[in-house]
Amino acid sequence: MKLASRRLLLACPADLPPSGLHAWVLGQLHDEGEPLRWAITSVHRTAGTTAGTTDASAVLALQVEAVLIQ
Amino acid sequence: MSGPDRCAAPFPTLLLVPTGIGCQIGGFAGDALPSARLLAAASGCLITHPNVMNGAALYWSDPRIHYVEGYAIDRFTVGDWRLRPVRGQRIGLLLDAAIEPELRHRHLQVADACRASLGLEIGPVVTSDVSLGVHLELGDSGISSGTPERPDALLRAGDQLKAAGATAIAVVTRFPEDPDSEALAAYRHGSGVDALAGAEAVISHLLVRHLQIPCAHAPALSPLPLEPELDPRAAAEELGYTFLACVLVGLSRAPTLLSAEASAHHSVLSVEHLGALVVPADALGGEPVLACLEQNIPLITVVNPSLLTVTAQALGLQSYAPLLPAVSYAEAAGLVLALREGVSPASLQRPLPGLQELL
Repeated sequence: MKLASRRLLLACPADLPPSGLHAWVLGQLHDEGEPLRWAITSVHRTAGTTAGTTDASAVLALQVEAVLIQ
Repeated sequence: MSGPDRCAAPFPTLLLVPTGIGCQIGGFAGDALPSARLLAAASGCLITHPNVMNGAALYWSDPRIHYVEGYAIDRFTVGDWRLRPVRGQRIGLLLDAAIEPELRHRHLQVADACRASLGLEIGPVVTSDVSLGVHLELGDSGISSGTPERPDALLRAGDQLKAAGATAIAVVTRFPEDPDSEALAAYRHGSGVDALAGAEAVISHLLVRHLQIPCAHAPALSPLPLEPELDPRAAAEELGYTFLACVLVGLSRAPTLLSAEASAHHSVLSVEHLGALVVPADALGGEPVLACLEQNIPLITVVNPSLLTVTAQALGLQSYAPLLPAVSYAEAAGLVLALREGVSPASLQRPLPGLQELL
């Protein structure tokens, strides 16, 4: 077993409903390994004007810090 | 009315104070414990994790509080695992081979003291076959983390304990120490991040994932020189030679971890029973919070500053209906009690907007 600490910068569609965020982030993490411990540690909107916008061009820039099993 | 005190039925509530992010309340030595006690009284059933309950030599035992390690909380909130309250656990003690003989004796004496003075069932004891090589890290956000270099040895020792009859595991690993570091000085003076906490969580996560039994971690460290200006929130860690007593007490009645396929006995808690999640307002990016969003579980966000700014606004949660902000854990306890009693939280605030008719 090998453990790896990773910081991932993920661009998430801003119109993704809150109920979809968990599955979406997990899907991204599984590309890197099996997530053991992780959290979104920073969020920025890189387009669009306000939080909760439905502007399809808006993107949530998520920083995720994780310990992964590889 | 369900009893002489006319209280409604217990309202299972999950309290999270994420580990190693520098929360003003709960970022030190069990200093969220008073908040947990209040929320347990308000809810009648509180699920929370070792970072909230562990105060080194200090602890609090309350049958309304369920002590559940963070990885198990993750699995619980996504619906993979359930929690079965028990009268007692048999706690195996896993010691890192890197612990020096005198420090090792101190830990064994704490375990014996908990047997003799508290009546806990502890044993067997297993020492890892090699040093586990724990090292500490800080993430880009400043939160603490770390990993053991020999996770395989950790899991082997855990397997041995489980095979020998342990139903829960207290793990003690030798942590690196730098008594002159600025980070430690800041922590002892009440600022900064608990540099050990993140690595502790990784170690207990590994064991819980592998064994599916309750586990919690205590670091083995040499005593520090006296600090007259010690912050009260960090003081619990300077009362003795080990951080183990709280872990043993917490694990002694930690719920057994069942797979979701297990029978749904009335005493077994599943995520479907969860009435609310109480979490710092700036730390909404963890797996349990995101899993609760999927299931429309009321989210009580409490002002409790930390290094993070992952807020409801940043995540676009303004339209999430069951979002209940609170300025303190005292207010959060009031909200939990309102939900438990079926009082609409909106009715407690002014202005109270008039009803809107659907068009």
